[in-house]
Amino acid sequence: MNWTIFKSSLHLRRNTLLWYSLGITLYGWLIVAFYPLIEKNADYLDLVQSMLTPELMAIFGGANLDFATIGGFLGIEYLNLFWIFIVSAAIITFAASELAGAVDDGTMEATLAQPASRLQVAFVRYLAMAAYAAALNLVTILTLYIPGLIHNVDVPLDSMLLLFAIGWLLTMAIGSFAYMVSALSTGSGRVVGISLGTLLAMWLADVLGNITDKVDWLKNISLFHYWQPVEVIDKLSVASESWLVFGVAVVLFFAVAMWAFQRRDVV
Amino acid sequence: MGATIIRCEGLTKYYGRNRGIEDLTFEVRPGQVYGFLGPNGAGKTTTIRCLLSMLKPTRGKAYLFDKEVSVNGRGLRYRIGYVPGEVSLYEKQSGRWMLDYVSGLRGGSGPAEAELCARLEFDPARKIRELSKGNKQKLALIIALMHNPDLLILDEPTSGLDPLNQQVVFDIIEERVQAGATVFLSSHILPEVERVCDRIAIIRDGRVVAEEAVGVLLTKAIRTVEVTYVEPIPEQFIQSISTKTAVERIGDNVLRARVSEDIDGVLRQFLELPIIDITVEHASLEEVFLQYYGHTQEGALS
Repeated sequence: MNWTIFKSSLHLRRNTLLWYSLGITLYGWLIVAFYPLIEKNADYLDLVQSMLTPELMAIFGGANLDFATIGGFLGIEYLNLFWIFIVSAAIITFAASELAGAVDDGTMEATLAQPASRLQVAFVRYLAMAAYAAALNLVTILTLYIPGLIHNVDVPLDSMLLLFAIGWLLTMAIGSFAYMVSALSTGSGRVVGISLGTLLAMWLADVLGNITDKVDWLKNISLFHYWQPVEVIDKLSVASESWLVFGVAVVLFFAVAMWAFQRRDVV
Repeated sequence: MGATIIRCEGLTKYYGRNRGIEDLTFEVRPGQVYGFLGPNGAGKTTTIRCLLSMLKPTRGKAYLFDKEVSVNGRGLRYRIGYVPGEVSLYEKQSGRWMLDYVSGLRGGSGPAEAELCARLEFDPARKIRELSKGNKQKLALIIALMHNPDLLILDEPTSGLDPLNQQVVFDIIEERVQAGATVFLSSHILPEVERVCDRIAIIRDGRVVAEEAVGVLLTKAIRTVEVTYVEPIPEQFIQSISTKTAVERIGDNVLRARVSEDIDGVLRQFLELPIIDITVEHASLEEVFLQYYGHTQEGALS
């Protein structure tokens, strides 16, 4: 483990981590603070929900969501969609900068001119990305749990810990994909474009798979399908296939990234 | 075969269908200052990047300290100091941060860091993005030199430096060579190479077209000599000189000649009449190519 590479990666991204954390904090705090008002008007919300089309509900994570539970509310308003895009933007930007961006701006040449192997650089920077993802997810659960205590909203701690674990794995699955693209291509802009484009396509696949039975299978190829924060918060459970899919994605994309980065030209 | 510091055997690099370098074969001996010359795009930087394992060669092999770079790259780089042709550093960080970063990668701070900062008058406290091109170049030089490497690979090392600092850099290089270091210097500035190198390879269109001791190359280098005489120049005088070298009359009192060999003899002829002024300019490297190596573009000289 080369601590110089690890620390420098995180040091260079500390400002972006701060800004994303601030965004997550404000969004999470606002949602939790708003929940008591929603809870008092549960009947009205049931009526509103019954008026929403299945297509609209699918956009926010599925037709069976319930505004009236804390999990359902957080899922619809935050975790099923907006949180993923905030965290994805953060982790994809990180992944893009660490390899493709560094090759592009010449700093990778400055690093590899020193006694550091490509495998070492790529591996340690990946570990730094894992720490970055952990920080984002830690901020996520803390900014739900602590406002919950302040605003008398029951946000269970054990649910938050489970949410941290599965959320971190999802973030790493997305980050690993971006890291793989980063190892294969040049220019951080291209990496961000490909990764966010793929994520958007997966989200559309999930929405379409939820809307119509004809393309029901589409949702199975989407990471969004395996991300069920409502189940985590309300029932303290994660489907085993979610662990499996996210885990396999992490291992596969990581392995390809390591393999590709060792074989590419650094110019 | 004796020990070599750098050895390339048929080193070839293509970027897709575009040629980078083609069948490069040369070696650098311990203690040599080896000049690697060529115009922009000739393949100098590609060669260096192959030596540092940044680029994967299409064919051929590169060795440093008699070990193949593609196998032993990381360990070999402990012994190398590198100044890239285009210095790219972490712009938002300070020079101090950059020096510590490199020291961290090398497992300890550079013993010559403080001395180099003082000699090059470099302030490491400043942010890199606030530095001038010359100061960034100084930082790159300090990074390359501060761990006292056995091999210096320098790609246009004085780019952006003022003449005073160029002088300091060459003084440092000469001191390092005296201490036993080997230098691989890529440049297209002939006087720079002339001063420090003892052997030179000329690369053109990705191939080595000449490899010679620097003294031999300099005798072949074209110089432009311009002489201003006190009196108008007699035609017979011009004709007598023209038998040895091409002479052009610029005005009544001024002659210009392009001299490639025996500059001593030519100058003696010019000075047979009283003069007011004389200037001698080195030819550009491109002119040297055209004069001496244009006919050998298709194949490398041994």
